[in-house]
Formats: sequence, structure tokens, C-alpha cells
Amino acid sequence: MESSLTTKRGKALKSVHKHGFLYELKKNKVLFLMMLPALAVILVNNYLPMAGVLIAFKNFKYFGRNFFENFFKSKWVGLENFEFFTATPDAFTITRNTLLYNLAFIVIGLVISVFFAIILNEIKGKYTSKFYQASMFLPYFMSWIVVSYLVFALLSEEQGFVNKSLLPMLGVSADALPTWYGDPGKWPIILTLVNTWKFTGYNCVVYVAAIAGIDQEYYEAATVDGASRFYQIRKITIPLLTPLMVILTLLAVGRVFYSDFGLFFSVTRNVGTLFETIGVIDTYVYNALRNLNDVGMASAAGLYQSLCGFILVLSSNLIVRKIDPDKALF
Amino acid sequence: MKHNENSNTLNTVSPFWNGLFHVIFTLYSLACIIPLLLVIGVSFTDEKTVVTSGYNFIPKVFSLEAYKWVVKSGDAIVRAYGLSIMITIVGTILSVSIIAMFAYVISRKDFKYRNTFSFIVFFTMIFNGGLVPWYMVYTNFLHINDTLLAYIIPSLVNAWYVMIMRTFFQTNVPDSIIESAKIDGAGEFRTFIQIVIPLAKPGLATIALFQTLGFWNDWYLPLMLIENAKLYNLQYILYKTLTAIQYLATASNMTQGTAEILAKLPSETARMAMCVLAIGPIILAYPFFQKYFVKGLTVGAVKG
Amino acid sequence: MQKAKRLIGLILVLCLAVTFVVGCGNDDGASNSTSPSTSTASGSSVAADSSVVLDPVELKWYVIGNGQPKDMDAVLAKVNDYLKPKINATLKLSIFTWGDDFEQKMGAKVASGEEFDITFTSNWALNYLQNAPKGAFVDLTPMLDQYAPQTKALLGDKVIKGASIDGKLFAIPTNKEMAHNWGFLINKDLADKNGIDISTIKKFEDIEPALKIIKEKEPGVEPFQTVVGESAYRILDFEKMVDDNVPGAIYGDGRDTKVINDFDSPEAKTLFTTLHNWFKAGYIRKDADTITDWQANRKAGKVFSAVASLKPGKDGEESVSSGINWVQVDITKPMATTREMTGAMQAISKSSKNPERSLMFLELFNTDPELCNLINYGIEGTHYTKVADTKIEVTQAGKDGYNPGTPWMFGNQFNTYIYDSEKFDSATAKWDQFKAYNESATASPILGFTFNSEPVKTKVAALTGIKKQFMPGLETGKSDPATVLPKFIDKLKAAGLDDVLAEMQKQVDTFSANK
Repeated sequence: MESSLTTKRGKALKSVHKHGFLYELKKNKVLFLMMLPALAVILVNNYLPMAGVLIAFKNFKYFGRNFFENFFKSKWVGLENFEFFTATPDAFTITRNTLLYNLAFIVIGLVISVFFAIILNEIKGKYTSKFYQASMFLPYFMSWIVVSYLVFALLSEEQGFVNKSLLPMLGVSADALPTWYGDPGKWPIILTLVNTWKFTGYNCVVYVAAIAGIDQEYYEAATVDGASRFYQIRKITIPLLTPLMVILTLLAVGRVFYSDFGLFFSVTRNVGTLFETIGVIDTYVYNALRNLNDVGMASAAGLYQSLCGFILVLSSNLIVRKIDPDKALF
Repeated sequence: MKHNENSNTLNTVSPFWNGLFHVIFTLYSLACIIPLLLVIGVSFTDEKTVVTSGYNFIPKVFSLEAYKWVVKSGDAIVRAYGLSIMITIVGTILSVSIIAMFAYVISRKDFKYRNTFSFIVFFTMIFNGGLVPWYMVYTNFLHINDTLLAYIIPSLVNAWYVMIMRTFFQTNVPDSIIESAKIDGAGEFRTFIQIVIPLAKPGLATIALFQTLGFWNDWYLPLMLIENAKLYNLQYILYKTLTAIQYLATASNMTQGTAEILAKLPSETARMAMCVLAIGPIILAYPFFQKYFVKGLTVGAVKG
Repeated sequence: MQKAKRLIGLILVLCLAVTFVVGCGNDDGASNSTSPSTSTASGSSVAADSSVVLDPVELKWYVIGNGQPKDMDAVLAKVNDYLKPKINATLKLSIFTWGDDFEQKMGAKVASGEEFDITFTSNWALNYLQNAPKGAFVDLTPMLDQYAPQTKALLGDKVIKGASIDGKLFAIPTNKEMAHNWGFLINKDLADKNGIDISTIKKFEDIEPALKIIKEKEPGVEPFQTVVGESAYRILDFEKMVDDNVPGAIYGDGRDTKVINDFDSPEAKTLFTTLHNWFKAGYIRKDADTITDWQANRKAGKVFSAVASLKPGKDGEESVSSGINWVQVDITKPMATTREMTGAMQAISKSSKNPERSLMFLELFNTDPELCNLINYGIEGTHYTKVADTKIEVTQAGKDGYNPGTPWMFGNQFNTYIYDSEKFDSATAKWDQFKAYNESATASPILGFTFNSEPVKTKVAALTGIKKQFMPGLETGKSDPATVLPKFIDKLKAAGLDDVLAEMQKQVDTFSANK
């Protein structure tokens, strides 16, 4: 009797839990309807093709006139497609570079864009502020190819502005001129500068908008209490920006194993001698696989980058959740 | 009166800091504008002059050759411009509406499955099935290749922007407002349109700006999904020209017989001309978004 | 976390399910579609009968070039008027743009099994040597006698053998120059101005005194241009097993079939040392390894000499393209290798519903001058006018509306007209020279061999990555071979060089034994 009661209760509990979703669906019909278009798009655009990750474990070949026939007839090869990555003695170098660059980009990007956004908001003069904001955006419009030519026009050892005009003008002798494209040590700084220059304006916009969305009443109240402007920034602006900073950083962490191909390939001109400091996973994959046309190995590379990023972002999300569940991604 | 003065000084930084900020931004703006001026300068310079005497802000020998070469047949470029503008406008409006609706739902603290659905969206940012299955969905399943839909549907939802928008809703729209709207008997959708949207304007303007740039700058979708030359957008025409320049400029003996094409190729200047052509309209659109980023929005004002 | 895991599982299952449903749906299509491919086997009877009745078909054909010309539809209408009575087919030709445009589009079409009939393929775009062994193209060998006997005779055994993979021909090569040799292109004006006697240059090192003169007398001119992708290394003429990026080759003069690491050969070491000395002497520009656009400087007249792939009239062609007077100096002997045979080809896709008709079209294209010139130059009187029997001048309408400019890619180059601006008296004169060049070429001892990288592909990928780190420095003379070369070789070895070389040797030996 006793036991049957508990099972009954258990069942009842379960069924409540089971009907939970349907119940919610009914209760929040409109909310679900509002989600529907976006869900439909990502189902088609992202989730349907996702079965394609299986190609990473296949030796993909062509057998007939149809993709599925090719797919099912292709042999399973386990992790073989991932080997080109472990086969290289450079695996450590490229992983290290990818992570360190991304780390630097995330931190510097965050600090500079938040800083710029805040002081843009403080500047007196509506039009100058708007002008600064608009001009900061300009580098974003220049394609990496154009940027790479600009960098080359600056740094080229034969014709570059720095070596031909600037440094000689400052009295540097011809022998002491730096060989920009021959010295790997300089590139971490050059690439970080170029990346910051290109994206600060873009990243800044989010924070500028977030500040614009802050309720002015907060500041008015603080003013009445006699708080100075810097105190207001510390106690109102920054805390209210924090959720956005956390989210954007978490999202960026998910992509730390990817890098901007244009930056690392075009801007560096893929110069071999710089490999120690410019080699990242994406350019390595490109250099290694370009001539192979291998669908399997290409998806293996992508899957590896995704998985690593996924693990990182799940763990960071967990930490954020522990500290403040409201700021977590999910 | 006194109180007012006091609040004014407290509400702004001191002249010293204000001056310093101006200096910082002036320098930084210059660093951003000067390269663009250089690009414009080079684009109007004669190709040979560029190779022999390098980049200059003011053309030593003025030439429109690069633009003529890029534009080649005028009508194609004009059509592509029109198409790009149309796709950008329609795409942005659709996309921002879809993203905003979704982000709003998952921003609601009283919505039980908000984390599940956040995760569903976030997951797409990390994992993808690779190019081939994606390509097949559009060509074999939806059959929207070679139509204008191919420009729009794949970019409608972007996980990154959904998350940004969610955060904007969370921070800018107090729960209490939604609660009170509910108590007043407003339906969910009406609450969203009449109360939530106005509060989230800066956030909406941000993702609208990003999506405008995204649709405008897109060359990848037409590269994969469009074959009909009448449906090319501007960026794709520029992209094709650019890669062909890159390719022809470096291809060795592989492409025999391309002598005549090479002879006419203004590679250095054409690259810059394309950059200028692509920036033009989008720079004009920027102020439209910018007006939503200025401070001064108060929740109270909306409430009243 | 637990939830997330469950969710991922659910999503994967869902995706698989959907894929299966869609897949099965398409499977019906696949089983239907097997009938045409079985008809390939029994094709003989079909075609024999079909000389009486052929169903109308549309052939989709993709090639690389300058993009779709404006007047393509008009030209295709003419082509179709011509094709209809002959093989009852209509042609839909799409020209994609050089580089990524063609590569990405075709890559997706091939990988997704999208239906189309004919595509351009080669060892440098939509890689024939990679795609054909994976099964992307139809094996034409059993079909040639039936559907393309004249093409078979036209190309001859040497070419067919050279373009085959494991004895199977997967694409029809364009009939054009089928050999290569290496040498210098020298800026004639600069040489004449400085009294340099080009006729004394017989081997690579002979050019050094000339470089010295240029360096002293012509400031601002690059005496010797060697850049990545257009490098002096090619003068060694190794016959590479895979491509320039992967170590492993036999000597190009055909002395034996021993596979060596060509980067580690004594010849390479000597060359790297010479280049390094030239670099130090200032004959090579300091930033040579950063140059991505080497044409620009040539056009500006700022390059004195460079190593180039040669053929008859290469200097003339190059002079047109750069507006500078070039003269060519042949250094190596003409060799016929797989590389030339696979330089420009048309393959029939495995996804084609009409492989027979596609081949019939290619046969017509290769043998009929009218069709070949129509596709190459457009409509006579509209897009070009004849100035002599086989010489033409392109009209303004032709320049704007239809000017593919790639006769080396399409069909049978020996059937095409030549431009009035070319210095040959008639097309025949030009093509006779090409034919003589082809005949003078020595066939490589492993002509027709293609390395199957499948068993070692991950290592090949790793080696490619390493080559791109070290070779740019070495081939531009920037790196000192005394210190860099050993490092390079060690790293290659660490990435499995020896296994790859052994695999290459094994395949070469098998090939030689079966010859």
C-alpha cells in the first residue's frame, strides 16, 4: 500500500514535469509564436546541416550521382582525418599563437571599447562626439586586402614609408633600419595594433548604445546626492555595462580557437619566416589543405576548433553562473 | 537655481578631462581617417605612377582608369547597387524583427525555458556542419539558390546579435514595467510593441546597424548560391574583380594567354577604387543609426 | 550541464533523422538515376540506335575565365542552332571568375553531387589529380572509341597516357602545347641599353655578370626577380610527385626514377647558396618574400630578369601583357610531363545524366573549327572580323560583349584563329611551331604517373605546411641555406618525410613495373 502510494505520487510528479512543456506552451502561446520565425531559420540554416559533422569521420569519395549515396558509401575512418593536425611538429606553436592572440584581442578589445564608449559619452559637444564615433568606424570598412596593402606601404623594407622616410628623418642610419617582415618578434604587437585599430569603432558601438539606454534617473539621483562624475561612472555606468561585457566576452571565448584569416594571412602576407609568431590554426589549415581538396579533413579541422571552443565556453559559463546566474549565457 | 548649477557641474567631467578626451579622440580619429584618405588618393592615381613612386595622398598623375576598369559596363554596377540597397533594407528590417522577438522572449525572467532556448541559439555559433551540407539545404531542399531569398534567409538570425539583444532587454527593460502592463491587461505582443521596443531602441539600432553592414558587405552568399549575373550584388561584383586581380597578378604560367587581360589590369589602384565604391552609401547611412545612440533616454519619459 | 548534454544528443538525433528522411527521399532519385549510368555500359547499343533518334538534352558546362560575358546568350543561341541537328543538344555554358569564384562554386557543386555535365579541370583549378581519383568524374576510357574516336586520334597515345590516372582517362585535355622548359625572361630594352650580350647565357649562373651591371647602372631596377609562386627554384626542373609544395621528386631530365627530397638535393643547395649571395649583393629585392603581386613591377619596367616557364613565343606573349620588350633565354630542355597534359581539361561529372552526349559534344568541339571558334571568339562580323583566312581582329562589340580570351582552355587550340596583333603570318605558322615544340619534347620516364596521396595524406598536409614556412626564405635568397636548410630538412623529417618518400617510391616502382 505504502509503496504503491509513493510510486503513484512519483508518477504524478513525473507527469507534472512531463506536461510542463505543453503547459508552458499553452500558457505562453504568444511568446512561443514570437520565437517561431527565428527557430525556423536556425533549424534550416544551422541544425539541418549539422549532421554534416559526420563527414569529419569519413574518407569522403564519390560513388554515384547523389550526395547521400556518396556519403553512405564512403568509408568510416575514425579519427584519421584529424591526424594531419597532430602529425605536424608545429601543433603546439599554432595552438599557442591562436590562444594568446585571441586572449589579447579579447582583453584589449574589451578595455579599449568600454573606455572609449564611456569617454565618448562624457565629451561635451554633441557634434564632435558624433564625428569621433563615425570616424572610428572607418577602418572597419576597409577589407583586409586593402589593410594589408596599407601596412605594406608603411613597413615594406624597399619602399615602406617607415624605413624610407620616417626613420631616416629621425636620424636612424641605413644599417640600423628594422626588417619588419623578417623579424617574428615584432608581429605580435603589429597584429594586435592592426586588429584593435580595425575593430574598436565597431565594438564600441554596442557599449555606446548600452550607455544610451541607461535610465537618466540614476544619474540625476546620484547628482542630487552630490556624487562626482567619475564616481557616477564607477558606480552606475560600469556596473550597468557589466552584463554586456560578460556576455560578449563569453561569446568571444567560444571562438578562441578560430582566428581572423584576413589578419593572419593577408596582413602578414603569409611570410614563412614569421611563422613562429604569426602561425595560427586557420592559416595552418589553409596552407596544409589548400591543394588537397579534402572535404573530410576540412571538416575535421573545423570540428576540432568548435569542440575546443565549446568546452572552454561551457566551463567559463559555469563559473559565471556560480557568481551571478543572471549574467550567464544560459 | 543653485541646485541646478550644482547638478550641471556634477553631471559632466571637468574642462581638463574634457580637453584630454578631445585630444585622445582627435588623434585616434586621425589614425582612422588618414588611411582612408590615402586609399581615396591612390584610387585616383595613374597605375604606373603608383608602382614607380609609391602611395601618395594627392595623385601625382590623376587618372580615372581604375574606376573605369572596375565599373567596366556601367549598367551592371548600377543594377548591383540598387539590388544591394534593396537587399540591405529588406534584410535588415526582417532580421531585426525576428531577432528582437526571439531575444525578448529569452530575456524574460518568468519564461521557464529561457536558458534552453538561449542554448539552442548559442550552439549554432560554435558548431556548424560544414559547407557542403549547408549548401545542399539551400540548393536541394529549399531550392532558393539563384533567387533574392538566397541573400536574405541565411543571414536572418545571428546568435551573436540575439545574445546582445537579450542583454539589452534584460538591462534596459525593467521587469516591473512588463508586470504593470500585464496588470493593465495588455497582451504579450502589444506589451512588446508598445512598451518594450521603445525602451530598447539603442539596442535595436545597434543590431540594425550591424545587420545593415552584414547585408551590405556580403559577398559569400552570392558566391555560393547565385549564378545568374543579373542577380549579383555590389560586393560580389567587387569581390570577383578583386580575387581575379589577386589571382591574375600572381598566377604564373598556369594561365597562358591571359596576356591582354594582364596588360589592362590596374591592380594597385583598382583595389583602392573598389574600397571607395563599397564604402560610399554605407557611410551616408551611418548618421541614421547614430541618432539612436545619443544619451538622454529616460524610462520615465516613456512611462509618462 | 546535464541538460546541455541531453540537448546536444537530442539535436544530433534529430538532425540524423531529418537527414535520413531527406536522404531516403533522394534515394529514389538515386535509384532512378542509376539507369542512365547503367546505360553507359550498354551505351554502345543506345548510341548506335540513337544516331537516328536522340532525346533533346541540355548540357550544363562550367569553366574558369573572366566571368560570364554579356553576349553569352546570343552566342549560345548560335551554338545551339549548330548543335541541334548534329547531336540534339543545347548548351548552357557558364564562365566563372579566376581564383576563388570558380574554385568554391565548383568545389560545392562537386562535393554535394549537384547535377551538371561538363566542367573545366586541371592541376591548378578544381584539381584533376585530387578529384578524379576520388571519383568525381566519369571514366571516359571505355567511351572514347565509341563517342570520341577522332579526339582520341588527335590527342595521341602520349597525351592520353599522360593525362590518365591508373590507366583511366577522366577528362579530355585541350590540344595545345604539351611540353615545358624553363629559362629566363630578360628585359630587352635594359639589356640593350647596358650592352649586355644575352647570347652568352647558357646556364643559370651565366646571368650573374649581367645582374652586376644592372645593379650598378640601373638604380631602382630589380636585377633578378624571384618571388613566392614565381620562383627561381623552378629552373632545377624537378618532376614533382605532388606539386611545388610537397617535397618528393625525380630529376626532370629523366635520368632515373629514384624519388628524392628535392629540397635536400645538392643542386638545390647550390641554387639556394647562389640566391643567398645574390640577395646579399642586392640583386634580389630585400622584401622579395613579401611580394604577392609580381606583375606590377614587371609592367613598370622595374624588373630586369626572372625565371619563367617557356614555350615558343612566350616572350612575345609576355611583351603584350606587360608592355615591356621581353626576350626569352631557354635553359632547360623541353620535357613532356603529366603537368602539361593536365594543364587544361574538360571532365564529365559523375552527376551528369548524359555523359554520352557530353562526350559527343566534346568530340565535336575538338574536331570542328567552326564550333571551336564560335565559342572562343563569338559571332563573326559581330564580335570579330577576319583580316586574313585565320587571323582575326576583335571588334569593339567583341571587347565589350564576348571576349573569353582563353583559347588554350577550349577544345583544340590548333583549330583556332589567332589575333592580328600576333607576330605570326598565319595561325598555321604558329601552330606548326607548337607542334614542332611538342615533338621535340622528351617524354618523362614516368609520364602518366600520378601519385595517390591517400595513404599518406595527413603527412602530405603537414609537409605542405612546413614547406610554406621555409621555402619562401630560401627561394628568395633571404635565408642563409647553411643554417636554415638543415632546420628545414629536420622539420620535414619530423613530420614524416621518409614515410611519404617511401610511399612515393613504392608507387613509382609499381608504375614502372606495370608499364
